[in-house]
Amino acid sequence: MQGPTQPDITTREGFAAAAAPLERLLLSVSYGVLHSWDLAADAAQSALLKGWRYRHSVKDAGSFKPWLVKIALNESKNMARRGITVELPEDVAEKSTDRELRLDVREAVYRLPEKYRLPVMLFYFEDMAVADIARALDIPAGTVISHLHRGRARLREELKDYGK
Amino acid sequence: MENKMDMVKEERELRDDPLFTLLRDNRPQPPRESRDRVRRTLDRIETPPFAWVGAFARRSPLGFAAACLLLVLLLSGTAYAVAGWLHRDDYRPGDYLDTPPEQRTEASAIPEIEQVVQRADPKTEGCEIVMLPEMPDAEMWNKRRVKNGQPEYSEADWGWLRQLRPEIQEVLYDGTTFAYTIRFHTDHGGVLSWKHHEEKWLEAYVDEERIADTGEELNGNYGSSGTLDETLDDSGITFHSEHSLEKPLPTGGRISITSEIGIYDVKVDNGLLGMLNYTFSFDVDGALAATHANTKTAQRPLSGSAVLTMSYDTMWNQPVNLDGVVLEETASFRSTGVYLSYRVKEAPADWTTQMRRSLLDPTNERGKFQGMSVSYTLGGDDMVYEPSFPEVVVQEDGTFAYTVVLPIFPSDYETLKQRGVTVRLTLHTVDSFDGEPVGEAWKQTTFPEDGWDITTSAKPLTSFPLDLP
Repeated sequence: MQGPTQPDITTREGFAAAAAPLERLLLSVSYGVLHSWDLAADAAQSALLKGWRYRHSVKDAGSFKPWLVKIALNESKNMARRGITVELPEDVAEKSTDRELRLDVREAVYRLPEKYRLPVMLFYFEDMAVADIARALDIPAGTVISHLHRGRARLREELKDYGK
Repeated sequence: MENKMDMVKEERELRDDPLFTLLRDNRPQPPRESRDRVRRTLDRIETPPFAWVGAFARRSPLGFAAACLLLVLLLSGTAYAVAGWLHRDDYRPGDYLDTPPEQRTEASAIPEIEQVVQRADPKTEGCEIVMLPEMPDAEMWNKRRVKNGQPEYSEADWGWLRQLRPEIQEVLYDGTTFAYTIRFHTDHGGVLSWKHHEEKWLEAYVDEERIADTGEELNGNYGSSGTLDETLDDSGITFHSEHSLEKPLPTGGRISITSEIGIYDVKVDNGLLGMLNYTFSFDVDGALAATHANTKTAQRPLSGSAVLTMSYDTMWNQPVNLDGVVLEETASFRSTGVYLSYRVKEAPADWTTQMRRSLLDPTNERGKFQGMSVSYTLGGDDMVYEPSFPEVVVQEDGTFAYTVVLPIFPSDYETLKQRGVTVRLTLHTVDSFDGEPVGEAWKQTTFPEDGWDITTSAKPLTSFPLDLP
């Protein structure tokens, strides 16, 4: 089933090899829900441990990434449901002139409604393919495209001062 | 409309948008500490040394028999009755369903767990399969097939999947563990396995699971990830799924469980062929009644001094005074084992949240990680079967709850009462990092990119007799 060059995620080494490049992605998607890097690290750590425990439910390396992202999102949403979250993104609260553009861009994304925010983050920040986003979010690929279009329209409005 | 949408073109247009560059260039960067924490988690995963026995046993009847024999040989002279299905390490109640009912002998079956399984009384409620041509984004999936060198979906190749007949076999639910097996009957058993070198290959796995009663979703998300193993024979395939629930299922009779199962062609990366919604019901109240849950709480005060290894943004050792720290223990005596749960009920004013959490970091007797382990002795003999690896969850009130399951069953109680069960709590502290001994004042702020090794030393926290019902 798995090609010879793909890691066998049922082994510790294979799982670590497949998961290590996703460290940033897991943190980022969790941050998009929880708005705190500390909490995002909690969620990402929990997702990795759950992923390891349930690794046998993934049977090909191509499914691994969206599957693990889905777990991270579920962990983050569960934490958010328990009230474990903060009001604003930490770096947005620390806004300064030097970082104005960067922070405005991020703030615009984080202010999007969740249904647009998550596809936009995964697509634009994390460079995930539409098909993988669809699997991670459990929505049809057409819906991902549709949300990206709508999210993009809102961002254009928010970021018009930057000439985009 | 989505049917006609050219997904690839759409995706390319979205990526060509200047907004993509703006967002990409200004994406957030996780701080180094957070990345380090996530990286360290990968060092916390381990393959239990005897896991291959269970995996081997699940693959074939011969493997099962050999594994049983091997376990008996390994455990000869053990302290109490050997149940053939038990794995020596990392006990999990759901493992019980990995042994097919026909292979459960008098020696290997646990009567109390059998009762829980029997009382669950699962029934098929319905099944709906949607194959690729009926999906709104069929064109995109077909393009993916072609891109991977496979022909587009055709009924001649894949139409037989519409005849899959899933049937729930067994359910085990004890209030926390939720495991079940589903049998997929098919006349095409040979092509259901990724191991078979047939023209058509297929794999299926539970992609999402939701809990529903009379069609309405209840209680939100129960976690969509679960273990899933398959057992293949000539007439079909059996899936074993196991979930550890953070909150109990709703009670009140029978409830319906819907498993959404993606069916994939393994020749194609992410090659979706169809989605199958299978719904079964089972008697929650019946299963819980058979678990004979009997709960006791106790206070476990700690005393003296210890060194806590803190692992948050950095790692360091911190000497602490344990006087005034009280753990609250909740023991739930179930047919599937004794669930022991601990939380820090009291601690001196200078104990931070991080200290409370570090005390309850999960590890086991092998002490590969820092934190607390739970073990037990039977009449002074060390345990033969390990408890489950601990799970720590954040509760509604923000406190941390640490839970392990001891493989001790009601039918053992009378015997074990005479011999005495003693529970030990042990704290494991890092005493070397990458081969270098560390002391009580150790602090690690930088970590090698390619990982690191730690060793720990163990300090007994407390021990006490387990008050069996």
